[in-house]
Amino acid sequence: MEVCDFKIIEIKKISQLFEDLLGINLSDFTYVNLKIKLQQFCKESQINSFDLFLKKIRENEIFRKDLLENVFFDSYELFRDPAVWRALKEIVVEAKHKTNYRVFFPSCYQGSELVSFLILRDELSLIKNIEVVYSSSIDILNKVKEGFVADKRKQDLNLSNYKRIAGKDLTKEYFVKQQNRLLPISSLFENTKYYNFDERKASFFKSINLVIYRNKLINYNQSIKTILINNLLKNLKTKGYFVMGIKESLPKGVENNNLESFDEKENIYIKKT
Amino acid sequence: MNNYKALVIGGSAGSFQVIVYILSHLPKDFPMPIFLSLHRLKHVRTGFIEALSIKSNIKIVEPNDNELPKKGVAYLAPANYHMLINLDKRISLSISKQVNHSRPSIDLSFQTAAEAYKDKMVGLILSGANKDGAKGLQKVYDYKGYTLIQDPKDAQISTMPNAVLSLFKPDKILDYKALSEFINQLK
Repeated sequence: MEVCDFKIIEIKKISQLFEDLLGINLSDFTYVNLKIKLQQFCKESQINSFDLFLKKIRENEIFRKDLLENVFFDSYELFRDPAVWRALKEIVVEAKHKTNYRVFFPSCYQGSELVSFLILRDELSLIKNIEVVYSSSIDILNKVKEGFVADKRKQDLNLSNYKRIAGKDLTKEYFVKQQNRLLPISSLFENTKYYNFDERKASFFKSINLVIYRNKLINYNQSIKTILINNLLKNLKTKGYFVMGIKESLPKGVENNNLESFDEKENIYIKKT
Repeated sequence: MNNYKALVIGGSAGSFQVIVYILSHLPKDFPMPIFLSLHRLKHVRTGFIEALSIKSNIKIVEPNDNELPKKGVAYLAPANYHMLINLDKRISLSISKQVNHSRPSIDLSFQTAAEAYKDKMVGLILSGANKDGAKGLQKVYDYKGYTLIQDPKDAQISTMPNAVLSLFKPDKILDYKALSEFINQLK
């Protein structure tokens, strides 16, 4: 067996270590999702024993932080699923005629989805009309703002997706090159707010018009999925929209009688009451 | 060939016709789920499943996350997602990093299925132009599952089955017709 092919007991030890050191509970993740992320990180770090892996988590703060980001990190790209973004474009134009329009990105551990929306908002000239709020349970604000929008090693922005929805390439308008990386321009972040809190517990803010929560739940166990969604729905306005990943479904126990499908193909729901 | 609970097939360039052949010759009551982890264009969501379904004798679906697989249904890894099998046998999707420049990664499907099904699964690698799947199939072998590859001489592109041979000797090496016959005998 390879060094990085962790067994259940080893994964439990790693989870326990994070709980002890940082109070972060990794047992919310499904076993396979957590395992492959730990495994990928172990291989990339060229660790040659499980004991060394534990030792580095225990003693090396940078290693620990890097590992944690990799566990929470998913490899998005800008405008993943272009058809979803086309649908969102149609939805958010309603902000022109509404006040206090707020869009929320929970569990925002890297910025691809957020930056995609900020570009869309700018394209529609709705910066003043739409307040964008994003949050994460580990503090990753600077990573997002610095352009942690894609795999930091490869930076696969997949700009072709943008061409698919807009029919043009506006890369130069929204990104600046810095040390061989493309970073989103700072003006995109006007009228945005970031919060660092535990989304399972927080009652955060009411009156959200749109929650974009795509491909987050696929990482988590069923019990925590229900808690997270019910919490989000409490904060969504009546007639507000809830967007999930195209291959996600509402878990059992979610108050789904309060939701109806708005766009079945793109997995967009609307809150009834 | 008794008592298997799952068949996992990995393929890439040159595997489409073989998959179609296998699916079109399956008995309608095939006694286990089939997981198809096939490299595909990540931005094309429609068309692939329809093309595979035209001649298939069993239902083919792209699973949602957390779906419990059923006997006699083929589950095609959705574009731009890894398809993993949880220990409780439910399908888990992931958008974690590409593996071998691929998402879906065949290695990850095999590896996670091997851990879930252990010696009760059959793994098959078909034609393909990279090495994705070889290490995963080795994991199936380590867990004493049954391992098959398409004969490199029969494969349109032999890189993928040859990558398996560079790691270990699978239980059977067969051409596409013999593979189909073998699969149809699984119980």
